[in-house]
Amino acid sequence: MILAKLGIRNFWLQRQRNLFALSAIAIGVTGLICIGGYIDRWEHTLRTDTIYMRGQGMVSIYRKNGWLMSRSLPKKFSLTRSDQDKIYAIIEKLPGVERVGSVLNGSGLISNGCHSQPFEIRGYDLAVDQWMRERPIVKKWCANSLRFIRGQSFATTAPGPLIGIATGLAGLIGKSAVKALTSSAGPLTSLTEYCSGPGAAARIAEDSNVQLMAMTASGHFNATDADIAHVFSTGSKVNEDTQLTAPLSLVQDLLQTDRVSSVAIYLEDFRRTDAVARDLRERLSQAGLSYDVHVWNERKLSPMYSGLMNFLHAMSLFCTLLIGSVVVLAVVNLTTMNVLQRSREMGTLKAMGFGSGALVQIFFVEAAVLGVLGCLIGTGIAKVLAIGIGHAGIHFTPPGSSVAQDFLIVPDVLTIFEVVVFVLALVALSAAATAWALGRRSCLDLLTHSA
Amino acid sequence: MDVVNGVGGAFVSLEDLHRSYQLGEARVEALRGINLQLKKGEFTAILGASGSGKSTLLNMLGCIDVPNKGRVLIDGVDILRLTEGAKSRFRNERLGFIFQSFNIIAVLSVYDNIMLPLLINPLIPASERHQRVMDLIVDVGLEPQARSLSNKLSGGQRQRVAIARALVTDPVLVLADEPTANLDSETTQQIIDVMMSMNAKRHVTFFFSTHDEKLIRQVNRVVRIKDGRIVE
Repeated sequence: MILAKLGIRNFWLQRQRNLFALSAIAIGVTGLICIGGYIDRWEHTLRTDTIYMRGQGMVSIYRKNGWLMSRSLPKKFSLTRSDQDKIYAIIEKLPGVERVGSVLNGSGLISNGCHSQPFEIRGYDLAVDQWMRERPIVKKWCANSLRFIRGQSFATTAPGPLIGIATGLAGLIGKSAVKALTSSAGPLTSLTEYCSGPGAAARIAEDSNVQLMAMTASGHFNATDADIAHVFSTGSKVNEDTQLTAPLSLVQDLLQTDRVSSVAIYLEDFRRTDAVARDLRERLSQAGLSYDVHVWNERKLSPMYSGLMNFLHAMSLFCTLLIGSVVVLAVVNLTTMNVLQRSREMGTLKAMGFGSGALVQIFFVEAAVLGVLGCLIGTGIAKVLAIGIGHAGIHFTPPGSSVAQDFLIVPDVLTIFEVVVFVLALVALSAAATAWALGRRSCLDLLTHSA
Repeated sequence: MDVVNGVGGAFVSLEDLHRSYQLGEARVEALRGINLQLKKGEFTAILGASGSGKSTLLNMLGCIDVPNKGRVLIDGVDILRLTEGAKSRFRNERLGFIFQSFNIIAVLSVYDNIMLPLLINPLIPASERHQRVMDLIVDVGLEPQARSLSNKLSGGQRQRVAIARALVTDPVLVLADEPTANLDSETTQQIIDVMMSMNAKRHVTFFFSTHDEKLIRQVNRVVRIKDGRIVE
């Protein structure tokens, strides 16, 4: 207690000198929390987008090698009705599962009646789509992706063969209208007139009808009419020009199959992903079933998430090293000054029988006070900055993104905790190491060579 | 700790003590074969000119410097054979220090300053520490200032704190390096009185360096040192 009192009072006595180190720590904490908050914002957004908006779920089940091959060889690598029944029976007994949905991926050509473009389509359960759009976590972190550029969700649009189309692809086939907005194009008298007659571009744009053509699972050619229910942005320039979404039944009709590419499992808590995946693999194995079980954050399944998060973490590591170095230098400098100035005090304590450990303890307490104050101030500033930036409504378009994103800093409690622990440890260790190194001088040296 | 008998069963025994320093190019012989014995409870002053080796001798006795040659026995313990950790414990449990510049911790109260050595003393139970500190505060006449910060005290009051701090662990030997050098004559007399009353009341051996004639007249024994040799 007396040693703590000694530390705290010396801290107050040297408050002007401490101010510099305190500022360095507070600014460091602010910087680290802001960087962490920025990474947290993308972590949440990309994770939610990957799991929900891309219909992948936390855990997905494919036929062996199905993730890679089901699109090109659907007959061999997709899940049959029998497979699906067996998988659903296993999942029913799996704890922690909130929702299950089937996904069928395919590809083909989309036509506006005049020209065609290649597409990739994802068919999924409409009930899952509706459930996902109502989830608070999705509304919070994927507000941009939830918002349709035009149109409405499948569930709220008049029934019929419906698709959602990415903005890039909609632009490529000249479609701006959606089913709800479409006025009747009138009887078609001639395809030439429809495609190249006067007002053709406007007529095509106002017509929500498109034709989808694809190779069926058994290798035949099939086509179907569909209406655009909504235009959405994928958020990524890479697939903005190719993506379609549709109810599972439409894609199954188009591909003439009752198979699906995968079964997606949504868990109550994403942190249990690996545990559930392990459990599932075990249950499948016990049932004598051989399927591939993938988790949402595997690099090949979610390259956007993995790539961006790796980049952000590398960037944050670099910034952390820089900020950490500044904090360490400030604390080492401060402690060195304190130790040198208080050599006589240290010598006196040593003469009384105090060991180097006790002396380190005194400077440790001073550093702890400095660290705690710095962390409190830094956290406060970071919170104010985060709120301010959130309210400022700053938008920017990150590299590779097809839409502008809100600039947000949303630090998690865990991030703040990690930053505080990191900085406190850094401050305490720097002070203790410096005090230890300088305090090892002999008692006589400390007493006779005091500043 | 091994107990060894000093010369003639002396309580403190310095035997053929040598200490030299390298000061730039020159070699300074600070102590040149010191032989000295102190009896238990003696109130002894060591007198000598500046640079005669008084402080070096006190440092040897205080286990904060090591001789090049010789032996130091205190209460039967050959302190040169102790490890650094054992020396720290020995200083804490058996020795008390009073410094010329008081060396009290300015940011702590009188009470806390006196309590400091007890924090690491395993021989005195925590339950006794408060009473022990309070008794000494009364003995040195600082009761009204017990909770005052030490930097609010006068020089004499600070030296009283230092005396109380030196005595709080019930040491066998108190070493004081010119304890009255920074005090006026009136305060010096007060400090001498306090030290002598502590010596009488607690039977603690005092060994201190001084230039003060007034102080020398009041001690049991005066040891004179010149050029690193005892010239008693």
